[in-house]
Amino acid sequence: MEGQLKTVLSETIRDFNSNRTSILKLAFDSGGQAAVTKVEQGYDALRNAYSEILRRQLDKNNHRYEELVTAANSETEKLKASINQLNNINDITNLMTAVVKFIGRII
Amino acid sequence: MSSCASTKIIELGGKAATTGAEVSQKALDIFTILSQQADIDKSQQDKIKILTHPSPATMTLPDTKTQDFSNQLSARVKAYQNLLNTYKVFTLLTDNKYSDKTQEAVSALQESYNSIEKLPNLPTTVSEKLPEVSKLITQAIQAKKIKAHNQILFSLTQLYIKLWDEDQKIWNDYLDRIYDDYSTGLNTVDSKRYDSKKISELSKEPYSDEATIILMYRLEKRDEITRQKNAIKKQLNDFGKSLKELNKVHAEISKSKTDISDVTKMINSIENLLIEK
Repeated sequence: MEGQLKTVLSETIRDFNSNRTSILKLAFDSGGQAAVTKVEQGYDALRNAYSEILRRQLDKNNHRYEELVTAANSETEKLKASINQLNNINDITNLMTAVVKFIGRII
Repeated sequence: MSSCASTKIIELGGKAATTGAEVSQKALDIFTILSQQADIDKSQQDKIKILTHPSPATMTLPDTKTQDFSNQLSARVKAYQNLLNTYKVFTLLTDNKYSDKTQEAVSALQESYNSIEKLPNLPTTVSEKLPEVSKLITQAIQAKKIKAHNQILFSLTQLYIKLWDEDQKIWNDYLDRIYDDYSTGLNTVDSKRYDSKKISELSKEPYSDEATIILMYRLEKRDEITRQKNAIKKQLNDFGKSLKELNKVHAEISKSKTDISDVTKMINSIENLLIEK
């Protein structure tokens, strides 16, 4: 339904633009500036409706992007944990060095 | 895992992390371009309203409503900023400093031990090899972690690809709307509005007939607008391809036997896709 409406809107907008000058001239000749304004408002309404469909299509995925944010953050935390583990190997060795130095001083 | 393989995996992991950050940054650049389109569209629609108005002398200044996509864009920008952040942290995991520091720390430990006079010194063979062996152990642990994280990044990028593929069609429709509407409308502007002498002054084309000069100008404008649109669409398309290649890079690195030349080729292909042509 939405897809069909999108296609119809797109074709109508395209047809209007293809004959834009002549349509507006016809409107002006029959009803002056007011008629031109009315036709342009109609055209703008079609474009607004088309954009609204695009926005809705994009909005359908918004919550999935929120899930991606959570997934990316979770992986960042796991990476930080891995980095800490690598640092820990060296921290433990450094700690052992300090302990050995301490033993050296007391024996 | 052999020491050579570990070193190579750490190196490839580093390249994958840098490439991942570049791909994420490209996405953010694309969203900046897309966010600029609303103002471009408004400006083009205002222009076309003036140029196609039957009585510009009496018309009021047009003020077309801007088509706002900022909410849709911000959700996507946030997701890719977080992905960029993930790759920045991944870069830290691929640093060589961990194994180098292990080697330094073990050497320091040995020195401390050997400096205690009441304890026998470590045998020379152990003294010589222990720091190097410790370094290799850290490298192996680091490489194993890099492989495991590539498996997670493979799954993560797969989700990004799925959403991008769905979005790309919509963004293409959006761009078609903006540029095709302008181009088609501009093409109907009355020839009387053009000053063929001015066009001739600006053009290098060798035409003297007024109608031809104007038609050639119309063609030039139409092609220019199409080129503009296609350049943006190409960036969207190339980004999608680079994301898919990045996903394959993660898949290959996470394998127990990584094909190094395959990964290198894929990374090079991503680099090429990210260069604007």
